[in-house]
Amino acid sequence: MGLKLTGMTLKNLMSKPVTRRYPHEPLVYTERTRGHVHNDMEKCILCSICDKACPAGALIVDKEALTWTIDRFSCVQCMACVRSCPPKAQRLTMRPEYAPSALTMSMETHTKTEE
Amino acid sequence: MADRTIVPFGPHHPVLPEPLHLDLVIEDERVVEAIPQIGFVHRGLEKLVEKRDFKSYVYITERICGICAFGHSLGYSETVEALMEVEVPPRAQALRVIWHELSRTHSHLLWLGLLADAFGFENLFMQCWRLRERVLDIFERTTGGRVILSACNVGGVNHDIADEDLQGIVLVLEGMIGEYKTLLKTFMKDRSVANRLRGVGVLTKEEAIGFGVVGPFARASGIAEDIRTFGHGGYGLLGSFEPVTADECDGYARCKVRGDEVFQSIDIIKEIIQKMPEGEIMTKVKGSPAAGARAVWQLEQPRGECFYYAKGNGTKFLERFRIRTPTFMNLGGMVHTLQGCDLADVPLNVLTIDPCISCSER
Amino acid sequence: MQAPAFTEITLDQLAGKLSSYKEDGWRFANLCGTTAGNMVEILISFTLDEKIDNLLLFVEKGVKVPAVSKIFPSAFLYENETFDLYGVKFDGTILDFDGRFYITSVPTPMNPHSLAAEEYLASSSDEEANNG
Repeated sequence: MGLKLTGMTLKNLMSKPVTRRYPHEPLVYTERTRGHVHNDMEKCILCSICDKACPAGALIVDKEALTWTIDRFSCVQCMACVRSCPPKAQRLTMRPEYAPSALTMSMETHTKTEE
Repeated sequence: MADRTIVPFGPHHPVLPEPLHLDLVIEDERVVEAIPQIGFVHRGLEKLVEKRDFKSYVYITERICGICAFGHSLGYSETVEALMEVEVPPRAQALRVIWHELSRTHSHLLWLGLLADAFGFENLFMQCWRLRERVLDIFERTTGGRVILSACNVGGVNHDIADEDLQGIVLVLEGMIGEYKTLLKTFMKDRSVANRLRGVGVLTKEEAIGFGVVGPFARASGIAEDIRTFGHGGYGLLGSFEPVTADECDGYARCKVRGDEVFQSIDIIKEIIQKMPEGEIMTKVKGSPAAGARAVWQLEQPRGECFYYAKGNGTKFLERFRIRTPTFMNLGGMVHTLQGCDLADVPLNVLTIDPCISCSER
Repeated sequence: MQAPAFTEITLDQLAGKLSSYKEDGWRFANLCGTTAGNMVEILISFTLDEKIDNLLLFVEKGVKVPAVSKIFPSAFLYENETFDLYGVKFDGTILDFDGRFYITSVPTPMNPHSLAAEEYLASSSDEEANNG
């Protein structure tokens, strides 16, 4: 006989929705979600290894001006930079929250303060 | 003699997941000839291998296709490892198999949903994709991404999975089996579905061998060929492996083969988790591929056998990297099944090969 | 696993090899080109169970290769692709798109030494000389 999906359909009608009512309910991230790259500027030594490792060309490190710039729109969250940062004091980390949405494309620059 | 009309199908069409153009020559609603045209998503990714060194290129191979993303990064890593003769630790090989089989599960669930959408059964389409979300949640918890995993690299894998997380994966998969059986029963036994699938797109065994088709498309015509029987990499841990085949050679058989392969994938994952070896997950790779070195590799992706060829030239850029995807091989067989079918069955015939055009035209 | 074999053959040996592979039941797997200096290296692969056999054919500029698709019909896509990207013409392919398979902005982008690419380079530098 046909109509084998009737049981599941009626159950779906009676139970609450499976989807999350985002943005009224907050997004649920896991521990390992690849959201955005964060650099601890106090410890960064501006060695430029992450600049060479990025496959999308999103990182620019300027040693004389003491800046570390990331283009959030080019970053594909692949974690190549995080893995290339020398492991003794891990300065680059991947945080789970996604970068905030923006209306214009811009570069985000962080400057290392002189001691 | 009846008049012939030419109807253009695609590249924009609601039933196609990716752009494909067919010129259908029809005579009174029956297709007499079909001329394919692809090339709408050609991005020149094979030329990009000359500009990105071989360790960064793995991030590009992942982004060739959204459904077989892990498969291409796995094939690329294994080909370069064969080219440079790198030993991969056994735990990394087992983890790669787990992610690859999960990839196969989510791809077949996606295809079952699209098939239901192709003949108008939208409720079944939504239920299949709702079940697929659980597999994508496993991906996010273990690697950080739902579709692009960034987990495989030349020399091993990037993330490790702890033992309690492995048991958690088994629990999620076993919880899916009950609902999946209801969905599969609808595909196999429902009368409205059977009217659309039986006898559609018949490709006999001799024709299938003549066109050299691969994957579930071939296994549904009775050819029992599957690269996983060779036991490369983590597949060598499995006790016994028999490919799933069917004999009816039509759309119904292809649906049955893919539906049963999901059960087989879940069993493979459970077996590998039981036999998981200990150890490291990455071998450091030094140097570059030697000049004049060549390597070929085969991998069983959800859509069939994928063939890779790599050639080195002594620098850190590969000279050539070729991906021959299963859809490229199956297009010849698909054009043959379209001859003689009804106009209303054309979308179904195109979908039964599981077309992944963006992989084919990197 | 048996290591895959790479054998170099010449143009006149091609037809004989293709018929012997077809008779023995091998399956056609791959046909692709690589730029090797001034020539194009064509790789044709066949598989049978676990064995993989690869034939290497070095082709000069303007030489036509007898079509593989007459014996293995599903090879017509590979032949059109090789012609569009490398400029190697296969004589007698069963469905010929005549250069309009992939619509590229430069002719034969992967092979800068083919006849079509050299003509294009000559005509574009003539234009620049006329305009500039």
